[in-house]
Amino acid sequence: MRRHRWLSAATGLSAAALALAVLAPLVTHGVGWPTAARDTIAADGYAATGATNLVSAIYLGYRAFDTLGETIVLLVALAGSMALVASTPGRPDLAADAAGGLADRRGAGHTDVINVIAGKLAPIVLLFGAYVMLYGHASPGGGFQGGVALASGVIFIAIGRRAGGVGRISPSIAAFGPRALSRIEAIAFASILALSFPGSGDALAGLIGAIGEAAGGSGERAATVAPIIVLNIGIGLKVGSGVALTCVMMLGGERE
Amino acid sequence: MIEALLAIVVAASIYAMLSKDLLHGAIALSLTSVLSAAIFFLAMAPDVAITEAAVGAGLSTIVFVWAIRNTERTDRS
Repeated sequence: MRRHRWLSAATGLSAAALALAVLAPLVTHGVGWPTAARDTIAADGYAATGATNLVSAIYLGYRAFDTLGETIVLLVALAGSMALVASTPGRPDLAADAAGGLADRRGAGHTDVINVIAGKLAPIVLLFGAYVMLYGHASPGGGFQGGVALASGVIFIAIGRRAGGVGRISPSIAAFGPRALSRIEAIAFASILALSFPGSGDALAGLIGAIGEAAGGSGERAATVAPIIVLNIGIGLKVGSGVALTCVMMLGGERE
Repeated sequence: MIEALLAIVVAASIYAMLSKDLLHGAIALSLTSVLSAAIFFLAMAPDVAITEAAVGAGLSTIVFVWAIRNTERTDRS
């Protein structure tokens, strides 16, 4: 055991030395940071994508395919952890969760404190997540951030549900059950994939622009920024339902 | 301000590595995530701060706690 400790200390030290050797020249050498891409995006980003939040402009306007790849990586990771959770004994039955399947599992952890806090926090967190997701083009945030916040809200509902129902949110709402969540994830991922086909972004922009003009506005800015908003919503719903699904299954899988 | 937060992050990370009680370690990791989110916010990166707070402090803590509850709470070595 003692030898293992020395071995791991030596490995850690050599890894740190290696990282330092790679990173030190970047910091100490007089070469400046590359600025060409930064300047281009800072100058043209708003006009090209219509997003005031330049972070969103970069990862959905300029590099949407990167984001698509990340979404697929997340999907694979979630599928792996779901397989692990599903093979744990005492898991919740996906089919049996029609109405309030988790609410029946009222265990020793049932307290009014958890009930009240989860019940009061869940709607606020859900609202915040929806805001972060929908306004990712204009304020800090975006699909991924909003999606994780939405997932936290769903987890609050699941926790309160396990503790015996949350305040005004009826424990029989099936919309936050595993089955509905997996459907939302599938639909959102399909729509992201559909948007990744060449020309579909332009088609969407044209459609939104036409609607904007019909409504009396110029419709130009709405048309430019529309693909980013739609991608934000799709990614938010996909990430949120996927993460929430995993955590809800973990919470429901305990035997108390 | 950022230096003080970084010092607490380092201290909590070391505690998380050395702690024999895995639940205490998971909570210390969650603390490092919250403080990192504060550092990101102070460094004017609110997008990253939201992600760090939600994923690091919220979801990964749930995953850790779930794993600990389904296995053993103490480190045996």
